[in-house]
Amino acid sequence: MQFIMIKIIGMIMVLISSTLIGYLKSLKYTLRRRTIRAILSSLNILITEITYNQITLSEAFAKLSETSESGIGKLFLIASQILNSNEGYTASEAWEIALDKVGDLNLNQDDIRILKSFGKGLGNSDIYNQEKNFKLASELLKKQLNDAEELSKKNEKLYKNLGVLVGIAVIIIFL
Amino acid sequence: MSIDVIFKIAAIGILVTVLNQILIRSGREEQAMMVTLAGVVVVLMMVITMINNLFTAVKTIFQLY
Repeated sequence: MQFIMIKIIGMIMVLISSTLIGYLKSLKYTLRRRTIRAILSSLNILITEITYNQITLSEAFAKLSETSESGIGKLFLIASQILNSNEGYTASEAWEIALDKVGDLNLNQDDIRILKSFGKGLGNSDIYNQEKNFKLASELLKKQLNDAEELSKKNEKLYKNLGVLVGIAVIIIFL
Repeated sequence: MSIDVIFKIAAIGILVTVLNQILIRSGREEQAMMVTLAGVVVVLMMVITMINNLFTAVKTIFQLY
C-alpha cells in the first residue's frame, strides 16, 4: 500500500513539474506579444504628449513610467531618472542607456533594434521630424506585433500541450 | 509476464500518435518524425526484453541448446 502511495505522489510531482515547464516556455511568446502592444501604446501617448502638450522629455518619461504596464514602465522610469540626474545626457543617450540598463524586457533582438533606432531620432530635431520618426518606429513595431501574434498563436498552445504530454510519457515509461 | 506491459505499450502508442499529430499540425514535421521513431525504439526495447525471456524459457524447457 505504501509503495502505491509513493508512486502516486511521484507521478503527480512529475506531471506538475512538466506542465509547469511547458507553461513557462509558452510564457515567453505571450509576454513578448503583450510587451510589444504595451510599447506601441506607450509610444503613442509619448508622441501625443510631445506634439500637443509641449512638455519636456523627462516629464513625459516620468508620466509614462506610471501609466505603462509592467516592464515598459521600468524603461521609462530609468530614462527619466537619467535625464533628471543632470549629468548632461541628451535624450537619445538617456534612452539608449535606459534600454541597456533595463535588463530583460521579453523582447526580440529586432524589437530592441527598432527601439534603439527610435532613440537615435529622439530629441534631435523639430516636432515634425519627431512625428515622422515615431511613425516609422510605430509601423515597424506593428509589423513585429503581427509577427509576434502569429508566432504566439502557433507556439503557445503547442508548448503547453507538449509539457503535459511529455509528463505523461515520462510517467508511463518509467513508472 | 504481467498484463501491465501490454497496457504500457498501448499507452505509449496512443501518446506517440497524439504527439505526432500535434507536432505535424504546428508545422514541425522533423520533430514529429523524431518522436515517432523514439516511440518505436522504446517499445522495441520493451518487447526485446520479453522476447529474450521467452527464448531463455524455451531453451530451458526443451534443453535444446
